[in-house]
Amino acid sequence: MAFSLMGIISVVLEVFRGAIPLLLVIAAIDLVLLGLFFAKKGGRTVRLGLPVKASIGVGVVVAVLAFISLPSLTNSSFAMLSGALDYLSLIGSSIGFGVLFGLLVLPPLLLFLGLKEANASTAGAAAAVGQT
Amino acid sequence: MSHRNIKTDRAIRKALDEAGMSRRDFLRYSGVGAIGASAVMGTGAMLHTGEVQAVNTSARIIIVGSGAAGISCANRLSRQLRGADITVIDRREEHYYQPGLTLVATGVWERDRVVDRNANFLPSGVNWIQAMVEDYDPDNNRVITDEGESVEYDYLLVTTGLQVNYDAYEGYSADMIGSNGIGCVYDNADHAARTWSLIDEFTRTGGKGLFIRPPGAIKCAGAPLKVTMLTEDRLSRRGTRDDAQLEYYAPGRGLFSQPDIDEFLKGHFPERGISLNWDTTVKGVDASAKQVVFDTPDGEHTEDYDFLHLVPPMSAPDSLRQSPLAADEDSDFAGWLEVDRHTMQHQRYENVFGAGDCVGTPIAKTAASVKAQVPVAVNNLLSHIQGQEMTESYDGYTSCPLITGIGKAILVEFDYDLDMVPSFPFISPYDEHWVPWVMKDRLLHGTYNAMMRGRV
Repeated sequence: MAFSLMGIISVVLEVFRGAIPLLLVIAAIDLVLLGLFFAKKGGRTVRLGLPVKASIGVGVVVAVLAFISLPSLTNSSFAMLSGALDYLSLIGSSIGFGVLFGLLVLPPLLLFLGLKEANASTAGAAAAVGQT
Repeated sequence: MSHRNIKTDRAIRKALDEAGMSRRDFLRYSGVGAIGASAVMGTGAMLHTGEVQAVNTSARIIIVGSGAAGISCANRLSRQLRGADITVIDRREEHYYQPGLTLVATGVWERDRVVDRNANFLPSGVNWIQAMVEDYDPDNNRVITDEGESVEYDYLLVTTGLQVNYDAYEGYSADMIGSNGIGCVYDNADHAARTWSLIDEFTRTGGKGLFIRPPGAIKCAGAPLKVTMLTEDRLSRRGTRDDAQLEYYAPGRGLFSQPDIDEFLKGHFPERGISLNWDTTVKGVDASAKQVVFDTPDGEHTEDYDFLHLVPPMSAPDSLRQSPLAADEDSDFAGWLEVDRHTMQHQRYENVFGAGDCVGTPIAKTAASVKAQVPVAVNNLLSHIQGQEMTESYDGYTSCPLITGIGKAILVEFDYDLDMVPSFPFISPYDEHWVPWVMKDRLLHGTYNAMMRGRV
C-alpha cells in the first residue's frame, strides 16, 4: 500500500508521544547551550577539534551499545536475527542512535571544551614578548 | 465473470474450506471469510492516507461503535466536514488496543499497555451518546438505543465490531476465563491477562495443552495460531517442552487462508511437535473435570486438558445481526453488515456505510483492514453527500505480523485475491525476521493510535 510523508510523521509522533516532553526539554537545553556557546565565543579562539572528536566518540559508544542491546530491548535476541534485512536494520538503527546522541552532546561539549580562554592566551603572548 | 470476481470467489471458497464449513454450515454460523485475517495491522497499511477537501454540509451523521473503526471515522469526518452534526453512539469508555492482546496473553506485555480511554481519541465537536444501539430502523433513518432514545440520521456509519459468542459452547462463559485451565485471548485486556497467568503456570508445569480455532469468521484469526506458537516457545525457553503435549484443533483442513502461509504452518507446527487435528469443533466443556467435548467426523470425542485456549465462534452483534441492515440467510455473509466489499456502502440503503469487524467481506477482520477500509468508507460517504461518484475502493487488504516465537515474526499482507501485497518489498512475506517483530512490539501501537486520530 502507498504511504505518505505526513503519515510517517504522524506515526513517528505517536510512537514517541510519551517521550516527546522529555525530548523537547533536551532539545531546548541543547539550544540554550548552543546559544551560550555563540554568545561566549566573542573574540575567543574556537577549538572545534576536541568537542567534535568527543561527540563522535560518544556517538560511536552509543552505536555500539545500541547494536549490542537493541535485540534484547525489543524483547528479542541475536538468535532471532536472520538475514541481511535484520542485520542491516540493526546496524542502521544503531548508527541512527549514535548520530542522534552524538548531536545531542555536541552543544555542551562545544560550550565546555570548545572555547579557549582569551585572557590566558593574551597573557601568554605578553610574557612571550617580554622574554625577547 | 470478471477475473477479479473469479479470484474473489476463490477467496470465499478457500475461507469456507478452511473453516470446515459447507455453504449451509457457513450460513448457519452467520460467518464468512476472515480466516486469514490477522492479529495486528501491518505498518504499510497504516501509513496510507487519502483525504479529500473539507465539505460544507448540515448532514446528521451517526457512527455506531467507538472501536478502532468508529473513532477513526469520527476523527476523519470531523476534520473533513464543516457544519455536520456527528454523533458517536457507544457506552464503552475503555478502549483496548486489541492487536496487543496476544502479547499480553503470552507474557510479553503488561495488561495496562493495551488499555486506553475512548475520550482520549474522540474529537471535540463530536457528540457522544453513551448507550448501545438496540434497534436499527433504516427505513425511517433512525436508530434506537437501549435507553429508549430514538436518534435520527441522514447518514449512518456502522462500526460496531463483533461479539464473541461464549454460549455457543455448552458449559462455557466469559467469566470462566482464567480458571480451571481455560484461557481466551479475545475480547478484553482482562481475558488476555488471565490467560497469561494460566500459560505461565502451564509452561512451568507442563501437561496437555489444547488450542481451539472455532468455525466461522473471527477477528484476528492469526491469534489462536500465535498463542499456540508462543506457548510452545515459552515451554522451550523454560526447559519444560518435553513435559508438555500440544494439540491444535481446526474446524476444517486449513490453518490460514493465504495459501503460502497455510502451507508453511502445516509444516511448521509438526516440526515444533504441535499436533494438528482437522475437522473438529468444540461442542462443550466441563471445566470442573477439565474435559472438552469435540464434534468430529467420527462422532463425539472427549479430551482431557491441563490448559485449554478456548476461542468461541463470533458474529455481528445481535442488534445488528437481527436488523434489516444484516445480509440475509441466502448471502455468503449472512448476519453481517451487507456492504459492497469494495465501496463499503450498504447494498440496499445508500446512506449507510460500514467498516471494521462487523462488515460482510470475505476476509479482513483486523486493525490493518480497518485502516484500509475507513478512508474508503469515509471518502465515499463524502462523495455521496456531494452527489458525486464514489471513487474509493477497498481491495481486501489485511495484514498479520505472524509471530512464530518471542522475538521473530513473518509480516504477511494479502488481499481479497489472497495474493501477497507487501508494503515493503525488502521484507519477505515468507520468512521469519526480527524486523516484523520490532514493528509489532514497538511501532504498530503508535501506528494504530495515528489511525485512530485519522492521521494515517
